[in-house]
Amino acid sequence: MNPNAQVNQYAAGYSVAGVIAIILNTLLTWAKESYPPLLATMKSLAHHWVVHGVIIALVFLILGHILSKQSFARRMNGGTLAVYLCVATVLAGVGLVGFFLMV
Amino acid sequence: MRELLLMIHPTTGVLAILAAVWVFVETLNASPVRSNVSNGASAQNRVRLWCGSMLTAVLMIATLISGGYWYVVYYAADKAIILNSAWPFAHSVLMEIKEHLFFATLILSVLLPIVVRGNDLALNRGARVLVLAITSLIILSSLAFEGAGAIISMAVRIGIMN
Repeated sequence: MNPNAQVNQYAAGYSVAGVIAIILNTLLTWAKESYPPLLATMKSLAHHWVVHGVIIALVFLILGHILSKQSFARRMNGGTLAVYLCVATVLAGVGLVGFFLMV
Repeated sequence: MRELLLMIHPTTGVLAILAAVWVFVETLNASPVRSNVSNGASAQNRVRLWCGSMLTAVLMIATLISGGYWYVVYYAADKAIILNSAWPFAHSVLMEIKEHLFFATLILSVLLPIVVRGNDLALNRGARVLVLAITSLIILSSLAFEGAGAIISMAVRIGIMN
């Protein structure tokens, strides 16, 4: 592994957490729009969009904190993380566009 | 008040895009010139990268707060107008995508200073590629949101006029 391509542990940990949170964002949207009881539960807590945002933010921040302490985070390639983020964001976007075009 | 809020939202969004472009260009030009302050990237380049990345994150959070508050408190009335207008897709497709996909852009914006902070972009090619990817995703998605927001605003206008 090229040490000049490895990013520091926080960049790696939070990047992976970002990938997970971005995908989860789309999955949560699919779930709440398809399963009324879930949407009702979220609405009972606060505005459903606010609850959605808080969940995603917490997943990103907490997972990022945890993952940045793991050993794998010290040897991740920045280019690989860039690919993961691009793929995740594009898939998440396509997933949302496709879902709302069909609904 | 609500009109002002609706102006603040796209303004901070555009400023966040400009800040991300600034970080993109600074990354492309990350300088390996040694200086007394830092070993690697020029000190000024590092400062600008940090400022630009923080500005991107702060402005995107401001965009979230201004747009989110308006959405939660005031949007219901506009939603009803749009759904009864000639452009109901402006809500059922564009607004729904915008309100959910924005969280991805927000995550990327908060991630940007985290990546910039701990890595020397002049010496670390991997970190440079990662920052370029993050800023590109922020810029492209945010430009799409700006366009979607314009169409949504137009749909409200069409609904009111008709």
